[in-house]
Amino acid sequence: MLFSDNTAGIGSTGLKTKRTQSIITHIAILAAFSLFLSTVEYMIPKPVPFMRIGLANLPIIIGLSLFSLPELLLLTLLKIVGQGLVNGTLFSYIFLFSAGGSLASMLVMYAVYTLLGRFTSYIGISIAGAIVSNIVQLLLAHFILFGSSIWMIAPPFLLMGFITSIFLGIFANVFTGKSRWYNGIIGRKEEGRHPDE
Amino acid sequence: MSKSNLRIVAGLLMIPAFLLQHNLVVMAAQVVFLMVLAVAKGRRIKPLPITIILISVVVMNLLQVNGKVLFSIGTFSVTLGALKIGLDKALTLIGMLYVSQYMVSGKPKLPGRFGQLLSKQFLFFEYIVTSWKRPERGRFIESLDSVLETMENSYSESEVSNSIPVTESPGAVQAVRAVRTIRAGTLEIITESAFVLFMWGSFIIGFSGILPW
Repeated sequence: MLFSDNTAGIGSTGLKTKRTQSIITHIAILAAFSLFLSTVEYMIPKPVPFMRIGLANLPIIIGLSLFSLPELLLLTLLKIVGQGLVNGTLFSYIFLFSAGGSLASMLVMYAVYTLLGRFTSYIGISIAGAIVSNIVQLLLAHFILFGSSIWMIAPPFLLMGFITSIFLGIFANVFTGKSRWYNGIIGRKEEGRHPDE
Repeated sequence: MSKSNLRIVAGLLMIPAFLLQHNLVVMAAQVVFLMVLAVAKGRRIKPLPITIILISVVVMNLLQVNGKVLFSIGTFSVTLGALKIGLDKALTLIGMLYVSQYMVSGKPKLPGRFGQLLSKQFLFFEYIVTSWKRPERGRFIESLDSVLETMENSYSESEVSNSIPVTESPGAVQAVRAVRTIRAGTLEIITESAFVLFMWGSFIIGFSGILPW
């Protein structure tokens, strides 16, 4: 089971069921938000067609403080499959690149957030995720498409990812600081954890 | 069988006929066929990314010397083996992209709980797209926040879980209609079968060795 849905339908744990439903809704909202951001990114003019800002990863960065690892995995899968369906790449190699990069970056960002969260802002987390995502995509490109020649374009590719991830991290910092929606969820989550407080 | 599932099945039957093909002339013909198929099903072709994929994959593969030297540009030798490998990989990538476009053109509904959650994601997506207004300068986050808050408040959990939106926004209603199952007619089954037969027919032609490359 991907999310903590084993509580659903158990009468004595109505609160948990409600919380589970609420989590599922928030996952679906953030997954939809991710699709929306990928549409926004599509409309932004880019100097190089394959250059990506990675705006669609913002909901995953936001989700780090809201969800457990299985829930984040579900959010990432929804993002990947949703984008695959919208862009029509679900059954292509491009889907493989998207899935590899997104899953690897989510796992690394989760590890950094969990282990070093107190010492790192969203900027550091975003940089870590982008670098790992780009490395995984370069490895996939090495084995599937380009062969060893791919490492010739690795430095500018990684540099571009590094720069865009800084902007994404800044945006995540500002969004989590300003958003009433996000802070409302955090507030309710805290209340749920400590009902007596 | 639903229309969307029919395209998934047809696509899955086409993929081996494409991936097992190594004659570049037939592969190119199959790619053109898949592009036409995707366009006929309402998808768009973007020439620039396709051209970039084709050129970049071929050029990157040319850097690895392989087989007979065709010509040289300074110290750089263009070899036949590398050119063939590059074209094979580029055509495979482009062909798979369009077979994928064709397969998802029927708006497939994935089964199970994950499929339900995906439908919910698309309902929310439709809501964001239809209710999003161009934000004032410097108020992007506030605008986004307002959409997220309204969306969460507008959808009661029980109704969302049944994939029926509380709001009557046109986009959301359209999204609900989109996920309804449309059954495939006999003509459609025959047409999609003809597409699969074309792919396998071209595979046999390529495999027979009557065409060069």
